[in-house]
Amino acid sequence: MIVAGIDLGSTAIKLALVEDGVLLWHKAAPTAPGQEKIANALLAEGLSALGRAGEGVKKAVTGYGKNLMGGAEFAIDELSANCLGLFRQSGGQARSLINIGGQDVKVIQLTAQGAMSDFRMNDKCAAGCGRFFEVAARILDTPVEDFGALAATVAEPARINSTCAVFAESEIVSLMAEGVVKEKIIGGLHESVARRIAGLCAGRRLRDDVYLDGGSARNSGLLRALEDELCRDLHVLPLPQFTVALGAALAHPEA
Amino acid sequence: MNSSATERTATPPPDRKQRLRAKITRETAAEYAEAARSLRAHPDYNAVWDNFLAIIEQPQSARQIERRTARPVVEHLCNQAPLEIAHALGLQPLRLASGCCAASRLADASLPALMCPLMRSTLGMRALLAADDESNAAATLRIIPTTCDWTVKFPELAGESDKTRAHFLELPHLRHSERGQARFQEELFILIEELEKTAARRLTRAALRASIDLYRQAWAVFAEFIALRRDGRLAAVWFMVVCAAFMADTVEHWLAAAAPILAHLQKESRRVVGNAVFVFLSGSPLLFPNLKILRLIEEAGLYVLADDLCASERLWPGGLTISDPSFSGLIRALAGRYHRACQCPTFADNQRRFNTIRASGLRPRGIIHHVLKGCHPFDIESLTMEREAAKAGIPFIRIETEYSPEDARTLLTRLEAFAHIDQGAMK
Repeated sequence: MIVAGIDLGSTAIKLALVEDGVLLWHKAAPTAPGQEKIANALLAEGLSALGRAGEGVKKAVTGYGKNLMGGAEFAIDELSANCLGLFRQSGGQARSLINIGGQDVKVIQLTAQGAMSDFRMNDKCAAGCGRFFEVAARILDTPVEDFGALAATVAEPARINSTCAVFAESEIVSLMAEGVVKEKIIGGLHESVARRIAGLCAGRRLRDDVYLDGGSARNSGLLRALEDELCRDLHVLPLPQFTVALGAALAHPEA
Repeated sequence: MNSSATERTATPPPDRKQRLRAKITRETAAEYAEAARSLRAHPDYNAVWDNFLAIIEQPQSARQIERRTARPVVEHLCNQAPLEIAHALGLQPLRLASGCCAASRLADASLPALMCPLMRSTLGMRALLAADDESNAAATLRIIPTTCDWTVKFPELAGESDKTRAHFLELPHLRHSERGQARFQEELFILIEELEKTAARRLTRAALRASIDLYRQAWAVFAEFIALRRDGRLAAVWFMVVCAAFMADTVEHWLAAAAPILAHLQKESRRVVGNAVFVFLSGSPLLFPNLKILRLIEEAGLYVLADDLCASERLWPGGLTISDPSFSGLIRALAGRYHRACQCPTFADNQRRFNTIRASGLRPRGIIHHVLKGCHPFDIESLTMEREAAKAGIPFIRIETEYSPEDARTLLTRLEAFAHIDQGAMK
């Protein structure tokens, strides 16, 4: 039996199809009104791609929108799902993880058995999260996917003080008006977000090995800035955006 | 001049301030109504709860309470002034503390931006209700224990329109020192003089003893509600109703209203909690009609086994030990209960606070520490609580919030995750 792990996040809906503990298929779509419809469309697409269209599946939901999904027989909080998914993907190595989601950042610690032992999250403001980079990308007219490569070309990033999407917008516009190249601005954005996330880690005993996941983990510039700020290497596994959806599927009692 | 212009001249639009006040009044009423509606829709609702809901389901001014109870109202900020003293003088003690989000808006413009939401709401509610009273002097007297800065500055923040006489109950911040205890007893004698002036009569030993005995009955009933809670049979929202009714009514009426509710609950053998995770709730007070945090806790699959909130279990100061039945002996006993045994974070020697949790034998699965933004004493104390919780191997979460419902989803995410923390990993 295929189990669909559906992570209804604030910026993206992620689907992971799992059978016998093995990830068969995955895909994400931007969050928009009608989340259930989007998730079901992803599910239909996945089953079709696997040549199993129309087959019955079990659904496990997680994320901010988990209560919006009808027909799911299992729900799990996203932090627990994150632990489970990452622990499995890391082959049981993960002890600490930093998840940068669309509207929040989570610092989670795991036991040697993969259970969550402690966590910390940012407050209600989305400063320094995935949404922040989306706002910056719009102002800079540059896709977020290019941020990592562009930031790698500069040695001295611009200083950006704010991680608030509203204040950062005016700061970015001011820097652009001063003629600062966007590569430096992007580098500065990475550093400012890294400082904020490091602040969230303060006081937590980050244990080896520390993993970075969530959609923003694909941004190599942010990864570098965060490694510099935390003075340690971070691991990024393949498919960091799908860890939570995978964990939800694995948590399903029939998985 | 056309006809519409004539109409505008003849009937000028209502004053904007009046319109805003009317809007906030409607929103305040709606907030209370929604809280009452949600309680009546709660799976544990039974019609007997209407005894208490009828008391609290709408905001009441001091004047309205005076009319209902036929006693002059004395407002109490915080809970360090013994209720028994006011009661013995024929006065009605009323806890001045609001949990209403909408009412805050009435005071917003004249208050600091980063202010304790409880005090903001209380000031807003006072302004809202005082205007509806025939007299702006809503209460006869307001007792202000010098706990936090917001409390001390209450009269200043309330402004010149506030005509209620303030009496500051100076609180020695070292409650375990003999000097502190002696000073608090002196403060109580000064308070008695002030209350005697208000009541226009002398406080007698017999009247005080009778009030102490009456409140003992109330504390005994509280203990029964607490026992039901410890047994997993009283959801936190209902315990809030018990406490809110106590703060807004005469002790006599509260006792009468409580009896059928207790009888109903004690008859019910069903435990309300199911597979919920038992937690201890500490921190800033939670007040009706703000059910946000308690609802989220319930939604996350957690059950509040106990708390030490000053508008909840700490309303109940525990049994009073009277070794000396003389007048001053009674005052000493009250001082011991309301000062020495008080665990408000305003005190400097509050080390025993965590010991109380540990020694109570409750063995909570976790501690939720609720901090209202701008509530500095509880914010400061959260560091100690977290450290002590870690030493004891009890998972701890600090929830910082305000009255607005906008952060409900993110708080729920945290609480749901907290319910799944591996306790074994904390050891």
